[in-house]
Amino acid sequence: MIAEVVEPLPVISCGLISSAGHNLDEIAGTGSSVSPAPPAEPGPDGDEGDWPPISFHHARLDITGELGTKGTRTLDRVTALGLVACKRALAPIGDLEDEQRRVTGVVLGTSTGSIRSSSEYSRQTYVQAKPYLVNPSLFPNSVMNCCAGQIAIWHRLRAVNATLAAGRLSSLQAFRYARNALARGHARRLLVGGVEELCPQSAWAWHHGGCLAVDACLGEGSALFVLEAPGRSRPDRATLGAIAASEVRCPGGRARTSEELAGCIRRALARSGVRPDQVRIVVTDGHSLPALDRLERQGIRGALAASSAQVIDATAIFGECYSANAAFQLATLFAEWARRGPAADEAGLITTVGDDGSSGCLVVLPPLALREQR
Amino acid sequence: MSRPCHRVVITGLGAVSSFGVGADVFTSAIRAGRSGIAPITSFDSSNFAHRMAGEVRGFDPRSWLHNIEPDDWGRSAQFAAAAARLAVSDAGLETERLPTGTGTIIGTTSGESAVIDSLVATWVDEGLKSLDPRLVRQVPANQLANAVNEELGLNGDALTISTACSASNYALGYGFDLVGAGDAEMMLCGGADSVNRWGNAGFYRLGALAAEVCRPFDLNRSGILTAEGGVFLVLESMERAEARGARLYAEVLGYGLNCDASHMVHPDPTSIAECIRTAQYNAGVRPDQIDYVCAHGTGTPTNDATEVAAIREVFGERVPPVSSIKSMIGHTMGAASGFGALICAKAIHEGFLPPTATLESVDPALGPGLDCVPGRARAAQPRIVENHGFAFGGNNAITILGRPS
Repeated sequence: MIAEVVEPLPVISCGLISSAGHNLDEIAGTGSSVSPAPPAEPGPDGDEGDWPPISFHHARLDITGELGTKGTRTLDRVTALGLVACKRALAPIGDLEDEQRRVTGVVLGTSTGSIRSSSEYSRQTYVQAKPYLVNPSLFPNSVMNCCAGQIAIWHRLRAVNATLAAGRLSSLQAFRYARNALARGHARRLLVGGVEELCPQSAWAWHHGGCLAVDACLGEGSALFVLEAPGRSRPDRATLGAIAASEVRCPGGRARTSEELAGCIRRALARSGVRPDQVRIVVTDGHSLPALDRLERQGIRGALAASSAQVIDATAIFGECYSANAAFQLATLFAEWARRGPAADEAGLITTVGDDGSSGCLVVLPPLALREQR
Repeated sequence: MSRPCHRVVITGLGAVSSFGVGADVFTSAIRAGRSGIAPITSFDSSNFAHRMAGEVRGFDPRSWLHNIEPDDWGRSAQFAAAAARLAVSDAGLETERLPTGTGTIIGTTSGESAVIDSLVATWVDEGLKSLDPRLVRQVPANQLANAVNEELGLNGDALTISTACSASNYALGYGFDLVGAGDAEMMLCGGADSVNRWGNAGFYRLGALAAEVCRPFDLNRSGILTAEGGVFLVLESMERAEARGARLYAEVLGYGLNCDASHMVHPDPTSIAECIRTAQYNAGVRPDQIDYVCAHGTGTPTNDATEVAAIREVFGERVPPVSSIKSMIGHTMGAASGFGALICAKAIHEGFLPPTATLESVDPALGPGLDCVPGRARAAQPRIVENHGFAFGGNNAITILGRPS
């Protein structure tokens, strides 16, 4: 099967909330120097309770300041982070008419939703006088699609609303799902990205997993991008860039080699109409997990050979953000292009390797106006 | 909107349910109007208010899984991998000869919720520092899709869609798009969930949990019964299926998705009606061509009234038979619309309408002339059927299946 070159999908705007910054300007340039791991600090709520001995990069989240007091009292942190990122992503595109909202949807990567909410809900069934004496108004927080659902409610976005769980590939899978959804007309515009919260439950899970690098930090936040169907954007519309082809390989837990990632990269480049030597920037995610880091770098070398491409690891900037990694990687790439301007004929690459054996990549192109100047 | 280049058919079915293992076992029980509901045994329910559920009983994963080590995977993943293997076998395929790029798309509501319950028990008794790393590894919901890929030796996509109680229809729809566009020759699409403590408690506190019997559309309906299981359908291009002489259960004609965007829990009939219209438009069918609706039909007063109102808005005077298999198996959460799709495929292939087995008298508030197929399955020759899935967050997904022509 010879695959056609995919049509680039314009990325109109980005909204993010993270420990490294709250817009692309703030995170630009952070990749050029890797700061040493900060000392261990209390959890994001200033809560010094049950946290393992790991370092954290937490996002300063002021829920009522960002989102007001109406309807925010029972929000879980995942949902709050997603709502802030969404508000920031939509701000540059102006007020949408109701008919535009009807055809705008959400595609969100999150591997367990708010595991804090679901496990605390389960906990109540053990510790309350009767197991059914749980708080009904917190029940929606325990389902994994709560954040995406709330984003839709807050902004009346009535097209496809999808929540995807794919571990460290969650946000990458969100971009893949979004391409299909736009191509098949399930939406004309999508908020796409990922979200991850810091919480004691997942922090201890990482601690027990034992695969974090010694100097790794856990991070949190959300990055969401507004994507529009190809051909729907006005040609003169400012964009951050465009996403081209993506490839994944998911052999379950079976041993995989760096060749799987290399194969993904070669196929994605071919389907993007991009030569390996055009790739001048690669944003990776392996820094926080040493075993995966080696695999990732070997895979990149296998596909790009002796490339002198700039390599930035997003987990060194944002911390390990699991489901949100690939979304932060895309933000990092756009931030770097905004800072230095892409070179003529340049393309970018995002690579991601999962602790579950999966590998994937996404080819990224500069804004159309720059591509057309070449 | 781009049209698919390939027609997509369902060639294999697999199920792990409260009726046992296998799609035929499941279908026989549904046709007979039997109940899969029994007292809960998977957790200590003695202090819960309501204690009935549609659990999978006596499931020995080692009897059904060849490659993955059951101890490394949670209950939902085991259901998923077993159901997927059964579906592939039912399709007359050997796992070693599945096309390159075949992958897994699975829907779920709570992923490995029973594993989470176990970890939380440790948290309560000994603190988070004592969590069992083996169980922790099982928790991320992507492990459901990974279990299938690893069990069957697949390398393509392994994706879990966690859009709650409509998730299997999302999975089926995405698989339909990928095979239709030629991105994959074959995809395994399904759903899985486990019965768990917090679901039982949460639905009870919302006033949505029945005590003993789930009676969709009934005057005296009082809510859902929670349930579990795993279900898979093999989707492949029609050319490929016909070339290898496969049995074609049904064709996937299309699907529609939308979001109420109004309330996390209460459904919106106008939005659901719009989802029905979208699904029919995408499938290229008119309302008068729909011979049967496999309802979401949870058995709550709100859902059933909302769903019927939406159906009437689209179908007008000519409402087709509408039934809910949740009357028999309870609400299998993320797997629900997958079991719905399975029974729709069987209904088209074998010639019957699934029943609402527990129906005693249709609620008059639902309006006149509603045929909910009470009791046992009815012999019929449905050509085109509509499979509903609605969820918390207002995530609506409807798939439409047709007799292969």
